[in-house]
Amino acid sequence: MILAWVNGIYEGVDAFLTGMGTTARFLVENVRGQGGATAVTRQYPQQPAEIVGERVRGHLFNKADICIVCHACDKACPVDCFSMDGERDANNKMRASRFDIDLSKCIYCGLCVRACPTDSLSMTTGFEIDPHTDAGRYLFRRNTGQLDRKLDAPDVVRMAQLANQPRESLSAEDRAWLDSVVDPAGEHLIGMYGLGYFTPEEKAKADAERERKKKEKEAAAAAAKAAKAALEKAAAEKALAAKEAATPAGRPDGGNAP
Amino acid sequence: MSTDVTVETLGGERMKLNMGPHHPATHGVLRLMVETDGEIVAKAVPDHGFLHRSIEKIGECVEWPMFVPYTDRIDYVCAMNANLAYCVAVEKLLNTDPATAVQVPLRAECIRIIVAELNRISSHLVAVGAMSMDLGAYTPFLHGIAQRETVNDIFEKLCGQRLTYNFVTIGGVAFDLHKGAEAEITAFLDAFEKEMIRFNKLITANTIFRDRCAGVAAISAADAVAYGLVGPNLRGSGVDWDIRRDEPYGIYDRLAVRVPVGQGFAGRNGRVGDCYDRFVVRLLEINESVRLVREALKMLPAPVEKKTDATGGYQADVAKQLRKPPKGEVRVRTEAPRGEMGYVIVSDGSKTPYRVRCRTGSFTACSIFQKLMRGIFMADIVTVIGSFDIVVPEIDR
Amino acid sequence: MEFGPAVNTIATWISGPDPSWWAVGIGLVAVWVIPVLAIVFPVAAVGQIIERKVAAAMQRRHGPNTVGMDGILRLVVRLAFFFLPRAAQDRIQARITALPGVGWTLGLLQRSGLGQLAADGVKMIGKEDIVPAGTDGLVFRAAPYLALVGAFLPFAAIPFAQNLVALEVPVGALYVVAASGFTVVGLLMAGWGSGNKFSLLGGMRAVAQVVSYEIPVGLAIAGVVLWCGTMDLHQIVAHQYNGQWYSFLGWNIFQSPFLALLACLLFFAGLAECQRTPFDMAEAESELVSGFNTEYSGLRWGMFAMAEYSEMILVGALVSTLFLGGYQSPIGEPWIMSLPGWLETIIHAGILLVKFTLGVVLMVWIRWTLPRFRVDQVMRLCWLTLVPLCLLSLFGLALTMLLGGLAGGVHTGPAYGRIPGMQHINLDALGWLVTWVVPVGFAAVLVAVARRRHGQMHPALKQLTGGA
Repeated sequence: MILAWVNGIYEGVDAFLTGMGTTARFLVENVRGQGGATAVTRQYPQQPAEIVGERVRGHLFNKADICIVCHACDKACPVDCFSMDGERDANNKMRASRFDIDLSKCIYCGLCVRACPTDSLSMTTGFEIDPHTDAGRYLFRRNTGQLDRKLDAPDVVRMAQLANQPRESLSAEDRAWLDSVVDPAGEHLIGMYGLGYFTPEEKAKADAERERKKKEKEAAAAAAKAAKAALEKAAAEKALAAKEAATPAGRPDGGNAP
Repeated sequence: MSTDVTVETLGGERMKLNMGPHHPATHGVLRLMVETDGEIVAKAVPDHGFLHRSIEKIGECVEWPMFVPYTDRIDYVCAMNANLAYCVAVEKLLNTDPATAVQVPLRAECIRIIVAELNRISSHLVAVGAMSMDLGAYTPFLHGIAQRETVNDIFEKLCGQRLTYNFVTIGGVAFDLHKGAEAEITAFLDAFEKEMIRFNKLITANTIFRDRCAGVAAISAADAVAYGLVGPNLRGSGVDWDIRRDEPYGIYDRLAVRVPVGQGFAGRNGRVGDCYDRFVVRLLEINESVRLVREALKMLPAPVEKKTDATGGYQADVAKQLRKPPKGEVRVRTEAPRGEMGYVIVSDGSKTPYRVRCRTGSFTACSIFQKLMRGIFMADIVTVIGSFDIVVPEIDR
Repeated sequence: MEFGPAVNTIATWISGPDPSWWAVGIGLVAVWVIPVLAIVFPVAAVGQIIERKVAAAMQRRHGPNTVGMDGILRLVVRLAFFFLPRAAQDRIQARITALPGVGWTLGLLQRSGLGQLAADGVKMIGKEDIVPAGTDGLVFRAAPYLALVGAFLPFAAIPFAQNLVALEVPVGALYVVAASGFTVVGLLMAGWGSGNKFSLLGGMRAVAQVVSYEIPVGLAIAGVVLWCGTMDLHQIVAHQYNGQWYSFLGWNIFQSPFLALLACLLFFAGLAECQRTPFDMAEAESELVSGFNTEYSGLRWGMFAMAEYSEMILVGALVSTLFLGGYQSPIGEPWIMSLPGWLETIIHAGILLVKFTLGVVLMVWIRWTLPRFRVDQVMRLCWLTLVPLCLLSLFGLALTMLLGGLAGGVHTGPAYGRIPGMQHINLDALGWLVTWVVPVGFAAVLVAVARRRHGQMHPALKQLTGGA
């Protein structure tokens, strides 16, 4: 029994010393930065997370000029975060007139990207949604005028780069461009690059805005059409009157018909 | 020997104590309704359902491949294994009819093994780290997490996410290995093995830790089987059973899987199937997974351009089959870090499943809590919970 | 009541040869309260930063390194130049920061986490003092004060320097143990008064543990008392002076292996007394949420934290005083004694500060290394390991003294300052060697036998720990 007691004390002391030695080694390594064992934590947001690899699934981004509105992404999405409309352009190709991604629904699974036949849908390396950071502050606000502005991939890269720099260090040209794309004081808190909406209210607001614009456009088009029609009618009447004046009275075909 | 006091000798006056759902040691939102007499626990009833998200019902509403992201959320600590379980089940369903049979490329199978075993390592690191943190040692936990971060970095390069991977797909994997992945994984494993020795010196060999776990909540082999314990919890009780070896799926039958079982590692005070055995079995499984990843890396065929190639491809073409899968019901079980993850899938031949039923290890582990948490100390409750490595979304789904 | 000579001198200086009570009060404030506030309080506060920095370094993190003194500087500038417009104030601040060395110092304060310390203090004072419903009002409110009192009273008897000791009573060692017992009342009141079952369990655990560990603490101190023949802490310090330039060899810890063992036991029992990991039953974050201080917030919580760190310092100071020569330097005393009195006081206090800060760092190091004991294991460790070891050491010590006395090793040691020379067991080199070799050799043989009999390790564990 005494031997077991002594052994217990020895084991305790041994484990204590081993443990203390191990933590001391951790401490020394961390302080001296040996063997890659420096601090593994990152000072966010001053030291933003490194993007490792090209397959990072950040926010969804649709390159609108090659999207054919085939709804493949919509069908592949498990959470129904897409809503889109399309219309035919001058070359009779489908183009997106509306492409909304509800980023508050998106679960970043990437199934839509895998389903996309034209590779227009992709996931960016930007994942910042914290409005306290420079990137987050810029990328998530737009004013109404900027709402429908679509960006190409190089533009997105440029925007991310510019937004990550302090505003004072930008050239006048860059600053003007950035202001044309995003607006820190904008009233729409929107998804990445203006492609999604966060809250139903904001979405409804933007939808209403778009509806209003569409109606205005339609009204303008209808008015233009009406004016054109009136003009045409007037022209036709004029032409008819001229014809009538040119042809002799009686049957227009000159009485040749059987 | 945990205590000389039995429940029968306790006084009549009991104190009711609600541990959780917001308690530092209940690993999420598990709630235990504890009745104690001072420090001795007379009764503890687990109460779950705080994290129920109807994932199985969602499974009936989404198409076959769309459910894969949801499996990530069933067990987010080892999402690769969760993906794999569902995909293996759907492949088995497709293979019941020769017309829709699917041949997973060999390279994809190897990649599956690699990612599943890497994820088992990272999941067990959370398990052993969290258990040591529950017992008051904070440093080992953070060192385990640091190693897990390296695995997450590899996975991020591989599939773009760090936690919910959605990487394993029906018929293969979503992406081929990225450039330099083999070297990265090998380098990680080499550094990891050295780091684990220090981890073990710090916590596993520590007398205080060992004595706190030794003999606590020992489960006999018969009880373990009767309560339906699975995975490391079952093996901790000395039952030699591992799906990877005994009912292999994928290409596990081509690998030599060695199964560590509990042997009363704690020595003098320990008993087979106590908390320390479950802890050590997980550590031994980590070593085993390291070996399996190395083996799978050796078996990996060279990549080819065509992604549906039967050897060097990584993704069989299954889109057509999934639109009209065969009718029927399949059962599949796989070995996830928290034990068997089984799927029962019923198909009515449409493009959505008729029923998806998931069976997970943490849920059955909860069934034995009530039996174990009698006559132990308050402090042992966290030891028991930690040793079972429960993940609450897996219980509630 | 016997006060230290410094107290008496000040009191006599103020109100004549028969000082009145208020003059003694002023003397006490000057000799006891001011050193405690000037030495213990800052170290207790910095101890929290030390803790966080050491923990971070062990866990491959950075620790507090973000909050700086900029805000405080701004506050000072705003207050000092309140009559100037904002922009001018900012310009002044920028100019101050640009002064040589200031920017560097501010950066250092920020990186070393001391800015965080200031921020934490302000936060703690500013936070709402929540008294939850269902608490036992007065008990809940009074508990932190008692804990703090228990942590600060014992410092009255600790000699910080030759003249910097408030109570020079013949029962100083006993007084320290008794006064630190106040803390446990505070903890129990906090546990009961909170009206929270987790707190109650924590309070009960604290009582059971602290009361049990008073035994080994008392026994360890008894060993020193036995060796030195006095309970006056200042005389114990003086007793450890051997008058040579290698004065560290005169320290109690080097006199006998039993005294060295008692030093370790006192340190660990003290660790248990101040509820630190691996003995933090009463807080036990993962079991009892936060134990007795679950329901506390703001300044009251801060008092508990302060009491905890002060107790750590107390344990460090007690071990230093009893075993490590107190405020004496390890390389002889004459060079300090020849200095002017104020400088001597500062150097002595600084030496004690270094000693107990090392003790605090060791406690922090232990905390981030070891897991927590279980309740029954804590009790078992106390009654079945520490107490028997203490008794064994006492017995061995008594035997050493008896044999040393028989061998003719009793001499009168050198006088130290105003304390006359005392009787020492002062053996020659051979006797000293025998004193060490015999017990250590016996213990080594015993351990070897015990290892052979019981020390088997499971092969799987051997494999996991790298074959060690």
